[in-house]
Amino acid sequence: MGMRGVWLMLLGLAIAGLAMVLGFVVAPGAQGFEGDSYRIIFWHVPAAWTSFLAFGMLFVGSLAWFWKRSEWGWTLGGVAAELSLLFGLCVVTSGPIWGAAEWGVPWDWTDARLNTYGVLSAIALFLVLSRRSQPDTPEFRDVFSGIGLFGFLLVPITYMATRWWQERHPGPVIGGGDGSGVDSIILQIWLLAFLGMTILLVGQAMVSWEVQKCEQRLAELQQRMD
Amino acid sequence: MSDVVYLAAAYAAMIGLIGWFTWQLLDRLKDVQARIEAVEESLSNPTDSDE
Repeated sequence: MGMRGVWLMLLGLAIAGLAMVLGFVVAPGAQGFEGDSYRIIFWHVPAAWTSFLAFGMLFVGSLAWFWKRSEWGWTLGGVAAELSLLFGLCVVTSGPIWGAAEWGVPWDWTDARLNTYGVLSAIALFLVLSRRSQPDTPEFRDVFSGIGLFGFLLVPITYMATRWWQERHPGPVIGGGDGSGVDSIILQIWLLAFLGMTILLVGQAMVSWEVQKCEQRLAELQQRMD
Repeated sequence: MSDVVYLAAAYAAMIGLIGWFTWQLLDRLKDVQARIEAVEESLSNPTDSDE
């Protein structure tokens, strides 16, 4: 599983890298945006979509632990929390850099999309840090999974935030109704980057799964030694 | 600052995060596999550790 995961990570990175280059070289200027700083979106937006996939995995893992007390679900929760954090951090670092270029300020505390996404990433950070620092007990697993389920509730809210309370973050361009839309070349590059990041996510999940299983095996062996 | 500087900073941050995460993942895998091997070895030769 480990080596296949590594190959998938390399493939995903190559595809996402190609999309980034196409975003610089081939994509036309975007309507409503001046200059080239908008080209940050060729990774920023697919990273956000990929983070939603990771939060979906966290939801499934957390539910499986609560519902069935599934070891599989517990392992998936740990894998997904790390990946949610990674892609969440990609979004919350690149977004403010674009905000600084386009708006003149990196963050707007009155914008719901920014704040809900910020909370979502903070939840992922909390889950990763707590999993590494707390002893593995059924009580801790319940708390972890409960927060994982709560975190997922923020995904549809974050997704809809620009429709319900648009302040500063750009509105939806896919399925946003009349007046929304995006150039077909930009859309194709977005989808290519999303494909690359999804393959990267799968590869990282496979390697992370292997790490989690090995860590559990090591803990069992150490118990036997004690 | 020019747009190119913002673009470079954003992509450098994302590439750095993905690269760091991937590197630490592979490093953790290598480390935990080595530790399992060492523990299994000491479990299969319990007398070695007493000497």
